Amino acid sequence: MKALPLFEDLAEFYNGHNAVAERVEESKLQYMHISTSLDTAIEAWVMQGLDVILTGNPGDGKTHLINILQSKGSLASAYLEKDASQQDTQTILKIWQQRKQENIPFVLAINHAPLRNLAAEVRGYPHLEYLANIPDEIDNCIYYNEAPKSKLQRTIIVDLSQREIVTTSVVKGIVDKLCKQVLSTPCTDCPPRKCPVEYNAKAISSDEILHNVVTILTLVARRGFHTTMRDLIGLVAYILTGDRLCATRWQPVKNEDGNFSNPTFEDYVYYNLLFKGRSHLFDAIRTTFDPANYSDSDNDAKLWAGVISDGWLIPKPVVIIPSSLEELKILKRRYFFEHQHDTAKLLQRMLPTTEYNFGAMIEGKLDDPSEVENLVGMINNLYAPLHPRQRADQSYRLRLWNSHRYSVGNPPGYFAMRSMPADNLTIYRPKAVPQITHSMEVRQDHILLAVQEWLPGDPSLRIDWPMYQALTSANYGTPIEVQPFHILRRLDLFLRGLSPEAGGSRHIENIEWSNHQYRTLVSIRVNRTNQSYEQERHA
Amino acid sequence: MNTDFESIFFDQTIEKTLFYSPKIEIKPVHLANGLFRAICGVYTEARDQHMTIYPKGYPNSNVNEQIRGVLHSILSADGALFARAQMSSYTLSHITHITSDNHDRRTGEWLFTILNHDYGNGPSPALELLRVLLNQDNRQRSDEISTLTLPLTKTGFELKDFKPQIPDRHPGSLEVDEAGAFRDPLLYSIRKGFDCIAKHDGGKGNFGEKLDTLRRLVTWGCFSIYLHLTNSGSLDRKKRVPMLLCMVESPSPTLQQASTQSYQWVGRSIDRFLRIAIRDTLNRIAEEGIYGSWETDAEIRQHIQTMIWKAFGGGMRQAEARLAKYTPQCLLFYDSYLSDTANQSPRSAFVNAAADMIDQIVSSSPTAVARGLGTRIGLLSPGLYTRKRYTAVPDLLEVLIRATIPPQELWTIGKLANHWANHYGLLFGALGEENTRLAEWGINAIDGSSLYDNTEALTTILEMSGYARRYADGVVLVSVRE
Repeated sequence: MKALPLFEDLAEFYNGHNAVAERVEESKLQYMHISTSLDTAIEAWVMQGLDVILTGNPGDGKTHLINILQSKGSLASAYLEKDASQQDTQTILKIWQQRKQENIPFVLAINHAPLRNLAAEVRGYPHLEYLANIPDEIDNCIYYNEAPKSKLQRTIIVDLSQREIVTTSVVKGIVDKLCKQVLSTPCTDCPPRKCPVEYNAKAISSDEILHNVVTILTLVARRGFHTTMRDLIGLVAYILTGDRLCATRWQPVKNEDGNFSNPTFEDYVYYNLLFKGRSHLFDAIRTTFDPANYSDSDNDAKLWAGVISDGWLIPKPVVIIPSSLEELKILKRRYFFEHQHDTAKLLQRMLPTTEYNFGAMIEGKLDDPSEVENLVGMINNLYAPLHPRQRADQSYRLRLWNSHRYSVGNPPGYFAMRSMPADNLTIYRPKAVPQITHSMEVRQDHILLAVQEWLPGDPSLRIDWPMYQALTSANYGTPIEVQPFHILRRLDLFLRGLSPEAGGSRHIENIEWSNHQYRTLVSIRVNRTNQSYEQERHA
Repeated sequence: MNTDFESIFFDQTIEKTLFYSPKIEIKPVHLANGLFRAICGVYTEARDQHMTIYPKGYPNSNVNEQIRGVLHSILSADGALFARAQMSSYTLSHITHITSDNHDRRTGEWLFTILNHDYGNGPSPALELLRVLLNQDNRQRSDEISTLTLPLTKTGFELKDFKPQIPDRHPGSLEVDEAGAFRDPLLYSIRKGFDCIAKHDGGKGNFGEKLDTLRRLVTWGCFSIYLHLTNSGSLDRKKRVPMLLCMVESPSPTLQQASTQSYQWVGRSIDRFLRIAIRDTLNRIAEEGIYGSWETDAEIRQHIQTMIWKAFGGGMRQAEARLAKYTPQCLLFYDSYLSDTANQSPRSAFVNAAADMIDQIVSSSPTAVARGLGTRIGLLSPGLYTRKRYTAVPDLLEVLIRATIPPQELWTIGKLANHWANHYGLLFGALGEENTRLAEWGINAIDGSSLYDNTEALTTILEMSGYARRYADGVVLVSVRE
């Protein structure tokens, strides 16, 4: 058995106990800490005498970070409030006011909701009234066009819920920490060279294999899943150990059908465990991308025939010809993680076009003006589905579609009297405000489709994975009636918001009527002055 | 003198109490037509417009067939466009679309009275907002529907004054005290909802937003009528009949059952209201003596034998065979209330028998009217009425939120739940005392996890609609962010 104190801890990291900073011994906490640029940024801010608010959701690592920096001694000059979420707001404000007068930097770890309460109750604290701007400041942690000016005096807010921790350096940091002791002490419980923990540790310590793990986690993040440090450590712990000690690893296990069977080596290999664990992150991985479920036109047949014998990063156990679909699936996973290949190209072959294009758009790999036209075309096509040959200028003008009926139910069609050239719209990507930009990477899981020179409060459409998926599916023929209500609601808000930008009333109005059920579009021109219909045109 | 049953025991009774008459199905578009007519004080005689938008009845027209088809689709979206304009309610957006159709059964006028009521701050801002939106001139018409129909009102068009039917002395439902304030606090809940929506939507009217505002105010109007009918039989004016929203897709049996049970209270409440109202009417006519005496069993039997069950003035004439069944049926009901088991006095027995007869005499019972309206605004689930439950669709939830939370305010989900429970009787699980409230109405308890899931489901819808934000520690803040 891996007689390491850390081994039990690994399991604890997976099921959560060790992942809550308040419950962990300091030595373990120190050991598991993954240093990032945020650490040095906080130290620098405190040195400059600034107040620092670390906010976010539970599990984002606020308390952990303060504990670590405190034990390093780098926050000695500051007053630390490590878990303000558990404290009375008035008490915090009183202490803060006092420290302010003593010129002592105040470092606060606090969840979103209590922080908003704190901002709401700040009146009556003359030196802290500026904290009433906290809600705006949280909303503005991320900006899209022009960086907003901070309204907080000498105070930095870091919203950890916006931090992207699924980066190669962070994952590698965790892997190194967790694998170090596994690799340094040989296992005595498993048969020689048959310990899956050792195998897993060696494998994910390899940069190439780790890159493939991070690639999958990035796909998950791109779909909008927010991975916390707690989730990530739990995931690495699980794919190393399978949540079992080696002493009991090979005992028969009860299957879903109630019968017992002897586990195999493959049951504990990381590339299978990655799709087996129980947590929201594992669920997200399963629903996002499992190489076993996606075909690769170049290699699947070769894997099935057993002709790919070269290029394996870990040659043992020797690759065998799969005898069943299940074995092929496992081999496909192994191929994805452990074969030398260009992962980007492999993904291009394996991923559905929608997912791949969404990724390319998020990463800015495509030409933005073309992408705006593409999005405009897809929005128009959602309301007015036409045969491709009829989609004359669908991509060049965004119609401000609307419908009307007083009873609930599907409207008979959609109409649009106003439109806007696609040229007036552009794509913005989320960026961290300048004061924190060097301290953390922000999540890149959406873009903003908005007017040129966009400012907060102006109409915008957040194109995230659900929105992109809905627009693409509409383009492929999914009728508007079955689109989720929240997608239509968001589109409605965007299109309504654009109305003032689309000009006032005109002498002759052109009203388009889309009967989405019959896929027809009728244009009717109304002369307001003469009160007459002008020449009609049928697309 | 023979007694005209429908006229005396329903129409006149309702006129003195509710004022609006829930005896035929009311669609939201009917209410829109009636409300807008009462607010603008006019309706239109637009012959050309009607003939153009109803190609089936008027095949010949100068307007292109394709345009006529589009107009018909748009203006009949709510299924209330018929051969005669005075029987039609268009899916309207402008004063030129208002007709004299009375299918709203005076709900529009009733709501207008509430909106026009001045309790210190003048009439509701919703009145001015609606007047401005509905009266946009030819150059300013900002929505597609009124712009599309612009050419149709060039000729054959006349605005006619609408004559309000509400008496100077307000009916029971709109009764005011010595200080001029409504006696029924529910009317203030209704009024505040209109005011709040108008405050959110004031200053809008550009293009799509105009139609949104019209829809929201009409939906709130329909909800108000439903709410009023639901509480019509309530003996305590400060207490609301519960409406348990069932927001999860597959509700647990306890949640589903409790929601259905809460819905069944609508029928009970209306029934109680009718029995009290009919009793008062009978006492009044007995006192006036116009129809003779109503004291002894023999006198009442005589009244039933000679009763004229339905007036023949209206267009909906019932078959003779059906009319012939009413007398024996009423006698059967009457006898059952006189029986040893019920042991009621002849007059009480007649009151109850008359209340039982109402459902058969009118085209739609008041309970069916409430049910239809509730279903059409998405408050009640579709399907069999015995299995109905409350389930607010996202559009209705939006209206409820906008009618509740004032601009610039941020409410916790708990505060919202409290407000909804106290003002409208709406429950969804965030209060923590739902079971206690439901128990007062004899409604079965719901398991805690179902209520938790239900709150989560409602929060998710609000979150997806942009009205709520979920923070750490389970805190949910709700607001109307424009």
